[in-house]
Amino acid sequence: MEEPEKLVCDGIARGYVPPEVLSISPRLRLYSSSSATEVDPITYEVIRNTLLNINLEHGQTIQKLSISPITMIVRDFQCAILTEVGDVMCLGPYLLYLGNMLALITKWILENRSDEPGIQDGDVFLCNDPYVGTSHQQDTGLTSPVFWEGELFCWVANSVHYSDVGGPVPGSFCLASEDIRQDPPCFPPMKLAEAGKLRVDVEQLFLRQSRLPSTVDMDLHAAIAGLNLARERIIKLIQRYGPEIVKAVIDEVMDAGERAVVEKLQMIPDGRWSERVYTEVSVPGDRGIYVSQINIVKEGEYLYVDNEGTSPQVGAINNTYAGLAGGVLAPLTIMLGYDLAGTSGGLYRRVKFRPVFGTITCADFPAPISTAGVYNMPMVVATATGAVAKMIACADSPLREKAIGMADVHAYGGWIFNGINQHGQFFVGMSAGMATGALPASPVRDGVDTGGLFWVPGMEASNVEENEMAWPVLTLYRRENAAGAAGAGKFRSGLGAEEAWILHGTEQMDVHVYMDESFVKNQGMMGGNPGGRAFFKVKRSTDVNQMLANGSIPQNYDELKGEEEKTFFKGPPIVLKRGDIWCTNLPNFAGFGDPLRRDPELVAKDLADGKLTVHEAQIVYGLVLATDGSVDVDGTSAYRESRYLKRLGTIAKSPLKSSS
Amino acid sequence: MERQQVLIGDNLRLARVEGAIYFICACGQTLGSGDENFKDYCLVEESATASIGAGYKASDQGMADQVCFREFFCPSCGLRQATEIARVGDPYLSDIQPRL
Amino acid sequence: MGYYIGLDGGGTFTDCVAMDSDGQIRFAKAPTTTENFSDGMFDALTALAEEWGITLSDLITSTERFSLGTTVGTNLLVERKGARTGLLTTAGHGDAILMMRGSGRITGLDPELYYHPQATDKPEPLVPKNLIREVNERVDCEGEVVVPLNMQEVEDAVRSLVEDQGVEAIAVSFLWSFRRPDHELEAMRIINRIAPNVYVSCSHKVAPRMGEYERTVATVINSYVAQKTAIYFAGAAERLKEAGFNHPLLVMQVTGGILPVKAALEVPLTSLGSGPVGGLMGSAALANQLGHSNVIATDMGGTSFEVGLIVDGEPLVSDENVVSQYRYKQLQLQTTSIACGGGSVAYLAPYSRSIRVGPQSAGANPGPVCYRRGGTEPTVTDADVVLGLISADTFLGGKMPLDRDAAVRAMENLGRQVGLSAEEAAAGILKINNAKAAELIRQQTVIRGYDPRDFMLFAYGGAGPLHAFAYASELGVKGVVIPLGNGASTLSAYGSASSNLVRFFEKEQLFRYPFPLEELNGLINKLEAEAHGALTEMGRAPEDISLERFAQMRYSGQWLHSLLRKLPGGVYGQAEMGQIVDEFKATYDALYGSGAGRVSQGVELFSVRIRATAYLRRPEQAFHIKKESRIDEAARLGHRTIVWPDDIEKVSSEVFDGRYLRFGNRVTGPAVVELPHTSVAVGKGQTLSCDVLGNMVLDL
Repeated sequence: MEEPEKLVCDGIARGYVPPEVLSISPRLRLYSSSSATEVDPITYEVIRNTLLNINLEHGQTIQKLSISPITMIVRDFQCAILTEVGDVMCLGPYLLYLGNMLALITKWILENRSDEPGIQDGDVFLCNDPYVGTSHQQDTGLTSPVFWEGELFCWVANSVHYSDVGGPVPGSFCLASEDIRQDPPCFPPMKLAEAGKLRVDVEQLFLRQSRLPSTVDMDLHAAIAGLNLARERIIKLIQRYGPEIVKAVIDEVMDAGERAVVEKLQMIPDGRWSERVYTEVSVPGDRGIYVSQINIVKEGEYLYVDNEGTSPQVGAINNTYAGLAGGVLAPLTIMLGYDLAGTSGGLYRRVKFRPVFGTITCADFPAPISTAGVYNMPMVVATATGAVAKMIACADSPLREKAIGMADVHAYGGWIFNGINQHGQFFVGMSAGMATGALPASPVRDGVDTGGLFWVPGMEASNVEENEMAWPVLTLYRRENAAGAAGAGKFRSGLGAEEAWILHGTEQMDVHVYMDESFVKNQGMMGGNPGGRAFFKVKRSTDVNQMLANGSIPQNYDELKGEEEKTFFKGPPIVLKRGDIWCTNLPNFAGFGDPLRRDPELVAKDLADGKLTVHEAQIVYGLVLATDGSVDVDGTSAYRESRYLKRLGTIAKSPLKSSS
Repeated sequence: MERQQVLIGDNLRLARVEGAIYFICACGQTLGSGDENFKDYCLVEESATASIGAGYKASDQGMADQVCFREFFCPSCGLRQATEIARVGDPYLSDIQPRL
Repeated sequence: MGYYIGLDGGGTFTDCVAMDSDGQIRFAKAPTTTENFSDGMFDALTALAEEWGITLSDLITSTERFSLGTTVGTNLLVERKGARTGLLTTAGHGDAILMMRGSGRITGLDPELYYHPQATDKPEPLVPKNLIREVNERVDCEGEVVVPLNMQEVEDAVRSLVEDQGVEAIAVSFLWSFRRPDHELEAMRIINRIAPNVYVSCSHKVAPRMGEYERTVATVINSYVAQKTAIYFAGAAERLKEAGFNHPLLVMQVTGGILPVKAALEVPLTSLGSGPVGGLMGSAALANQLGHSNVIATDMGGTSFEVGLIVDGEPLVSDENVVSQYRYKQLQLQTTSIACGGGSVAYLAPYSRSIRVGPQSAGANPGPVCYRRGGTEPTVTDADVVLGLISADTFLGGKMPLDRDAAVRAMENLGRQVGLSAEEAAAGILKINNAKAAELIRQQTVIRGYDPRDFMLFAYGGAGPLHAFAYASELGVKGVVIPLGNGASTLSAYGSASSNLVRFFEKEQLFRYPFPLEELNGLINKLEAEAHGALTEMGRAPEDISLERFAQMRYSGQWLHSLLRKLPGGVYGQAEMGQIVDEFKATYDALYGSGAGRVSQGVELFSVRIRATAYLRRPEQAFHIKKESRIDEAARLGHRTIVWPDDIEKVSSEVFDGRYLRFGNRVTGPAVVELPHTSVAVGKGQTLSCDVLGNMVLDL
């Protein structure tokens, strides 16, 4: 850390940053395209469509055969087809930030494994090392070369969240870790399968770390089945059309994606856009506040991204370069690459990173990384989303309409817990209920209530019944949030959701990760309100069981009698007991524009739909109702005018200034 | 084609006025020149994040006190041009710097 | 003479088929009448009587059996014209149907849209928030009551829905009701008592499956369409009765069987979308007679391409469906569709100098450019016209002359932008469209562990027979059947005419290996007794009833995956249980790779399903026995130049009028066989022959 600029980005001392041209052993023969190959426009489309379908089928296989709700329901995984040198050709509609990580792992393998032990047909490499290219150790990547006649043609790869990969804490999110050696183990790329044969020694090495070896093994085999399917189908495609043609299509898909992005970049003025998101607490007990900042410079037809302004790496709140790059590319995929159907490789070419190392969003070894999946990664995506959205909101129409405000900052997944379930089995749960998500506001329309998380496009919440079958809990209620101040704006955010729970069928349960923000982290867009504060509330020794016995299911956490537990962000583990009730939420996300500019009829509609109270309609939106309950148009204008005047009259100019 | 102006959202723009470049509010008020942070030309209100509305207040007051909610208003029309959740004392984020 | 009639209505046309007691078949169709369905139905029946050369009255009075399939329920839903429906649900869970598990914004949409949030939104709610009422009651995952049903709250909620909100139907969906239905049943009694005219359905009855969202959607849709579906069936039955038909009207079900109206209306949802299922059942009936046990049934129409599989003589069954972005639980024959049909629009792909086809469709309005209805974007049908696969003059029997020149101009315009001639562009469009069709089939077969080469492919629908020559070759299937030849466009009606009475009885209950055998045997016994009773009640003799057992099995924890296993009969002991589990594991490994299922991971059997079938007697379909090798001159329409898409070569190809082809005739490609409602293309090196049942068989 003394002279970090002397460290090399080798995936060991600091996060791996691949060079423009990889250093690959001459022992490995690559299939390279001949620029002379012409593909007719029809064959091109047939092959393009097939490749996208192969990748989707790869994803569907993982989804179907895996058994962790986090994978099969929440879609916390990704799969991709990559070129022979490890560039992403296409990724699936799953966790978007994982896409580029598959490229990093693959490129690292090409540079570091092509000589010894060599890369052969039928190999599958496993890697969960964040310094090589994962978001955290749980998101373990598998990547497998596809060979054609002895030459490396392309790669297929996936990353799946495995429920427990070891380390001191069930679920492997180690909040108290201050060094990666207190984290779950990191495995740099090693062969899980060699020349088509599963290496049981490596499989067992990986499973041996886990508290849930059987679950992890099922998921691992789901991932292998996905890879095998994709590899076999690509081979069939090559057999049918010939390697030159398929290769030419892969190259052209990337070029076409790049042209699409360039055209959009031309609609954006040059300039610099930034976002800053604050987080708190580096390890339990710490009282610090830390900054994540992303700056995007758009110059001509390229984007240059840095994280200057970000706090130095600290405690257990770090991610590596892989997380930074992936987190920035995710919102770009949605706001600049929305018409590419996941063929994001061309987009990636236009984004250049100038990371500041040794920071919480681009940490050097041996910073621990295991918690990044729930803290840093959503934070980096959110920070990048803010910067990208502001840039897009400055673009020409229709691109400017694609801007989307900041979504989830820290609450992803809600909470992680473990215990013995009602069937007598040990379990580790990650609550997927909050995966209802919400689409944030944009410059032209409201977000979508419980409309999913845009950077995990296929994401889904589990049913309450599925949760209650798997875990010893009873959900008292699960409902959409109110519209209120959180996420208010000229266009408001979609609404998130809230859930209240009690234990059922067990006496106690441990919660290791929960989200109770001391302050809201989300940032509003262009004068809009920020999103809401994510919370995790616990009330002890309540009368809930008495109420249930009396025939009434509590519907309001706040009205229940009991002792409120004082919770903290990244607080110590909580032991939940019978009679406790706890409440989790995914808050509304960012609003766009001054709420006083909101169309009064839209405010009235939320009122009519029961999503907003009359009081909040007045306070937040300056709405005045006539005696018959309809919108008083003149009254609203006049009242809003008075609110503007009040702002002007009472606010003194602040002495603070921006930094130069 | 030479850009004459940049629309920033729907109530702010960057435009040339008599050869110089300014941020301009929808009401016509200039908010500094193009190489400055328009927020420096706004009226700024800083308040506790808990004041934003229901649900923003946390149990850990000591932590919450370290940050604030900033609102940036056009000094002419009172329109809210920007908001920030920021650590108390941190400079305003210069976050929108398009060029003409 | 007695007739057995099948009718399928609700789409553009109302199609009908009749078989007489000698096993002869005739088809007819008439435009569907949307305001009063029975009118179109009787237009079609009148046309059918003409085909037989008898009066309508003679046809109806001598009809022995009448089965009806329909898309009316789906139309009600898509157009949001169902009943004003309220929802009664467990306290705390009224938002489930609004939240749509967070994925309602994209469910059922083209995956390309997943990356484009600003192009997606949630659908209009089926039940708005103000019609949802929560009541205190709670059951847990074991089926134990946590909070008893508060009957006063039910009463208040129902009064408010009915009296204040004027709902016409109510759906009752409580958590875990499929484990313990008592609360739903009690709520239904209360509703029936205080609002006897309001239609009620309960989730444990409509969709007794885990997952409150999908179960609730099924129940709400059921209530939403129930009354209008009943009116529609009653109207049809009434008109038939007036015309002299004196048997119970039978209704096609998505489960692949038919039921008397009364039984069908127990769960009206099962009549929803029975059209595609009718086609699949028609294919199954024909395949059975032809001795094909494995069939890929493909229906290509104007906007969509639909695929169903028949394996070992049985259509596959699925448990989920999606309508208007709402996913729901429903036991039905599996069909999968993509937007890919005659109306699919071809356009220039941005940024890559290539052509894309669909998913946008020109539909019927404006339709393809050649339809002369103002369409400007070239479609698959335009490509067919440009290439000569469709003749501009003889389309739909010459009733609708097409504008070939306009199609050529549109194609030239598109082709020019990528350096292709009009013919090359048209051929390319077909190739892309066919590749998409083949890709869907490949997914549906290979992903389930089936090899398309073991299958016959059935091609029907307006555009299926014309394009099957190409998409079937792509897959290497054994051969192609154009079912019923000219009757291919009425296959759904044929399917409802040839179906049997089928009902499923199912219970979702989790059994972890080793299964508690007494409980499992008890459940099977109970369901089988129920099944037997229900069919006996419909007046079926015990010897006509067959019961089959199935179980859904998975590895512990797999919520999205299961294998449907057919179970042996008899009482299960340790040996049978071991065999059931071993076979499950073996099948799993065969599908997903050796060792994919881990021994250490427990196996679960989570639902038991009984299929009860009562076989209906019907005449054997008459075989054409006289083999004619000589083709009737009336069938020979001469030659026309067709550009075949594979090599884009102009070839003089013979054209036939399919109505005059007979059993034993063989047509060698390149050729086109024209029929009043569709055409069959016979590619180079392929031959088409007519079989004993009137099917056309394409050898690839």
